[in-house]
Formats: sequence, C-alpha cells, structure tokens
Amino acid sequence: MNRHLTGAELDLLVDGEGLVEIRPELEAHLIACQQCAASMVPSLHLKRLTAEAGLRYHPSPDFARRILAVTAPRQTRRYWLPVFATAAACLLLAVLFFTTRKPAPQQALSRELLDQHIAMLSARSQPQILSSNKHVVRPWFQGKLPFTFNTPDTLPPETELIGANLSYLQGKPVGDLIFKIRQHYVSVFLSQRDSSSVLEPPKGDAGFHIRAASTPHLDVIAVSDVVNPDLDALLASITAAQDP
Amino acid sequence: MKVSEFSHAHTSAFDDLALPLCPSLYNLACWLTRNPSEAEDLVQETYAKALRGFGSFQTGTNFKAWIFRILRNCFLSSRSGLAATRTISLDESPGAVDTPDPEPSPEMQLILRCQREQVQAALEQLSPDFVEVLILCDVEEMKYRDIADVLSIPAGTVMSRLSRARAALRRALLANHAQGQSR
Repeated sequence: MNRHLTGAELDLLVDGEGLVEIRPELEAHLIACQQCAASMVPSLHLKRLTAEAGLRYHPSPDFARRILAVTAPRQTRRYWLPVFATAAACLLLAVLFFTTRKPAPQQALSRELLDQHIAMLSARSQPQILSSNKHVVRPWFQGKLPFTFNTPDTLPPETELIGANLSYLQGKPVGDLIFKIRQHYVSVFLSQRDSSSVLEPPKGDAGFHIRAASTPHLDVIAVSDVVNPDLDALLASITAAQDP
Repeated sequence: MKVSEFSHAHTSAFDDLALPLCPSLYNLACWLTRNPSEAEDLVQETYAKALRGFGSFQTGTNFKAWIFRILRNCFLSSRSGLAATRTISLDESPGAVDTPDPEPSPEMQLILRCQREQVQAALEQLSPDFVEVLILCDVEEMKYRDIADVLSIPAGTVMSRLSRARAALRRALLANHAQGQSR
C-alpha cells in the first residue's frame, strides 16, 4: 500500500471490522507507517471515551418493574394459543419465503446508490468539498482513493459541477461527484473497475434513474431524477475525459 | 408439552433474551428522545411490540439487533421521531479532512486530553442519526452488519455514516473547547 490510510479505514481497524481480504493489508500498513499508527491513537481514545460517555442514562428500578408488567399478562391467556401458533407458523413460513431470498447484487447496489443519493439531497447536506472548479475538486481526492480519474473540461449544456464526497459502495471507496442539471441534482460515482466482472447498470427506483458506463479502468454510475438523455450526456462527457 | 407449559416457555424465552437489554434500550431511547419520560414510553412500547412479534423472531439470529430495530421504528413513528427526521442531516461534514495528519495536531492532542463529560456534551449536539450509529457501534459494540440491520441501511452506508459521525463529534469537541477558551 503506497498511501496513508483514510479515516474510514482507520475506523475499520478501530472497530475491529474489515473484510478478511483487506484487513491484513491495512494492519501491515499500520505496522510500517508511523504516521498512520500515530493517527490511530486518538481514534482509539475517542472510541473508548464515546463508549463511556454514551452509557449515560439508566432506568429506575420502578421502570424496570413496569417493563416486567408488560410481559406478565401474557402468561394468563393461553387457551387460544394452538390456533395462534398455527397461524403464526404459516405467517412465519410466508415471511421466511420472502425474506430469506437474498436481494440480487444489482438490487443491493441499487439500494446503496439511492441511499447515498438521497442522503446527498437531504436538507442540510453539503458536499464534503464544495466547489465548481474541477482543479479544486479532483486534487481533493488525492490520498483518499486508491485510483485517479479526470474531470471533463466541458460539461453538457445547463450542467454544472457542485462538489464532491468521498463515499463507499459495497465496502469500497468511490469518488462521488455532485452535478446540477438545471434544478436536478446528479450523483456520479466513480469506482475502480474490477477487470473480472462486467458492470451491469442496476435499475432505478422510487422515481430515480440510474445509468452506468465503463472505461478500461473505471466504472461510472449516475443517479438522478433528471431524464435519461441528460444523464447519458453527462456520463459520455465524463467517460470521454478519461481517454488520454 | 401442555399448552400452558409451552406458553410459559415462550414468555420465559422472551424474558431471558429481552429483559437484560432494558438498560441498553433505555439508554439509546434517552439519547434519541432527549426526554426521560418519552424514553420510558418508547421502551415500553418496544417491549409490547417485541412480545407480540416474538413469534416471528428467528431463533439463531441476532435478537439484540431485532429488538433495537423495533425501538428505532417506534421512535421514527413517534412525534419526536417524525420531528427529527424532518430536520436531521445525514451529511453535515463540509470540508471534512479524511487523511491522517502528518504530525500530532492540536486536534489530536485535544482529543487525547478529553474527558467523558466533554464527549457527552459534544454527543448532545449531534443529530439523532449520528448519535444512534455511535451508540450502537461504540457503546453496544455491534458489528457493522448488525448496525445495518438495525438502521435498515446497507453496510457501506454504516461505514460512511460512522465516519461522518466521528468527524462531527471531533468538530463539536473542538468547537466547545474553543468556546471555553474564549470565555
């Protein structure tokens, strides 16, 4: 690893999380890099303090007795239980049938994309870097992403760059460029392309459109409520900018 | 097994799993509602709903995540929960720096000197979205996948939200410290 750990990667280590594939690499870097190791100390300290400070409120003994009373009456009315148990078993089987089927990878990706886009749209949300200047936005990602990308010199008509976020899709860091087409906001996620798989654009949902494109090194996905031709034009300008 | 024995075992199983979690549920409820009386109502409603729905709980899955999700859903449908969802922000970290500082910065030094009371004051200033993810991760020591289950969001979003919540907590600590210095 030839870069420093990001804040989120430090969080993974502090929380004892991380996929089996990436955790050894992060730990190896931590051992070798004094700077990242030093950054880990306050993170660990803050986590311990948050654990202490967060455990602040304790229920009174009287309240605990009230909770016991919530469960107590159930023990007295049992004559209808066989009917209920049969109905509950049928319901459970039906629920199991529908819930144990894992969502398809495309569906999961679609949910993540929409969640990130809607979070960006929320009332008080501002991009982590707020600038319409591509020479400010692009360098902001240095050291935060394990890849790089170009931002287009010329955008389609009525399209402007608003800023960017560092986000995560399926556990991987991605560049999230925020554009505005007329009054519509667009999130464009740029991720390092996995050469072993072909990007299949997930379907849109809840009135949002999702369009995708690829270059030899990048997968680019755009999410917005703007019409598809506008999204495609923006994607085309971004993918064209990746050509040397 | 007779019906009465079965029902007793059913309730007993619920009690065994749910009652030890009362302090944790009450603690999160207080952080979310910021009102002890509302928190008590919220926990009581959670227990009533959990008991009614216990038949649908799958043995072997995470009961703690299951009952915390019920608490959160009860909160979101409550008056204070609805008010919170209208005003909270999921991302309030403009300009947040996501790379480690080259040397121990004043921020890092300040964090190392922080006390529990200062962190409590800073937590009080965060939005419910940020507080709940910090409580679930740091106080309840839940794994990301269980937090994702409680909050009904993808695991990747848990990572983003935690990262932003911690950045917001650091900013609040710094701001409170600066305010204290200027007095």
